Amino acid sequence: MTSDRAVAPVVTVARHRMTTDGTGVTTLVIVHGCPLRCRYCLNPYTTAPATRFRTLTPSALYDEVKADALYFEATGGGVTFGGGEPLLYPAFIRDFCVLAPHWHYTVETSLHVPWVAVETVADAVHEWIVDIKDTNPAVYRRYTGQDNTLVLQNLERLLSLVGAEHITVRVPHIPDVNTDDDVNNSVSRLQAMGVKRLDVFSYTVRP
Amino acid sequence: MNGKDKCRILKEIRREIAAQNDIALTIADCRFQGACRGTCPKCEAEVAYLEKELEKRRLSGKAVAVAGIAAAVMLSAGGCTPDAPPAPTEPTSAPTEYEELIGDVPYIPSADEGEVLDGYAPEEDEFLLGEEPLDETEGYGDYDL
Repeated sequence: MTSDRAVAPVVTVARHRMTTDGTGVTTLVIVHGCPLRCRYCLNPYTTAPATRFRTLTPSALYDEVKADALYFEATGGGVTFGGGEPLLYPAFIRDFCVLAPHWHYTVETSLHVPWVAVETVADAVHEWIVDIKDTNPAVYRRYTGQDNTLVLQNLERLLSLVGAEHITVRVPHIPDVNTDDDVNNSVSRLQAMGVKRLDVFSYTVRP
Repeated sequence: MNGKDKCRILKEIRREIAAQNDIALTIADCRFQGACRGTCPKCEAEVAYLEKELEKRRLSGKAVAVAGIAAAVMLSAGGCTPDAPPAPTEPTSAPTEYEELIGDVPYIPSADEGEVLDGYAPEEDEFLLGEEPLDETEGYGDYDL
């Protein structure tokens, strides 16, 4: 049972996502807050001070998303937690997943969080989409403002804990930040770590 | 994928659920010409109807088939499957129209700009139930980073 003591600042609940954020019909839950400050952040409002959000309990979120339960069950879909960094709120995610254990759960994360956060949700989450940025510490710092030692350590431990088949690592070509050689080096290093699902792509900077 | 595409796929899913469970469901052609968000009150009413009919079947002891029955519909839409990694994205030029990306929600206007949240338009400086302004001094989440 959940205690509803865990809460998360939810900015957006986007329904009926298909082909982007996980298996089947998916509801994407965007939370506020992130330890990184990436130049081309996809959802910059998740770190903007002026952004308003709702502080939701797992039950309150469940009441909101259950309208699509039939679609989730019929397509093997469920809820994807993104942001921002959803693993800033691991107890909330864990408690939410308990409410509907038969749905499919995905987390989109940078893994730039303490290991205990990853561990807290590991049993409940079926699919991990890890935004690794770049494995080169200098490139990572230049792009995010942070060190990536924790990220790589967490990825290594996550691979051992849940298995490579549940983890997709996204490796972006980042305009004016990394080179083709950097991307290739990241891919090689990740493969050596045991990553099997790699998504190499290019950031498209919107006007 | 635009709203009309989503509407079409969701409609197929409802049709499949109805067919697999012997539920009479007539889906009328949608004549809405505006910007479709993938669902509407009429679509939602069909979902509610299906849920009600499925519950009736359960209560009468009949078998109910829902789990995974529309996975094929998603496959035809190019959706992800548990066993297949996403296709690597090739470098692209700027899209000509908005393209939904992984983890991306395009536009979240603030309440100050007259955003309608769940059918309710808040006044300036008015906060909705459970909504809080960000206090940057408190940091984020369950952990200090």
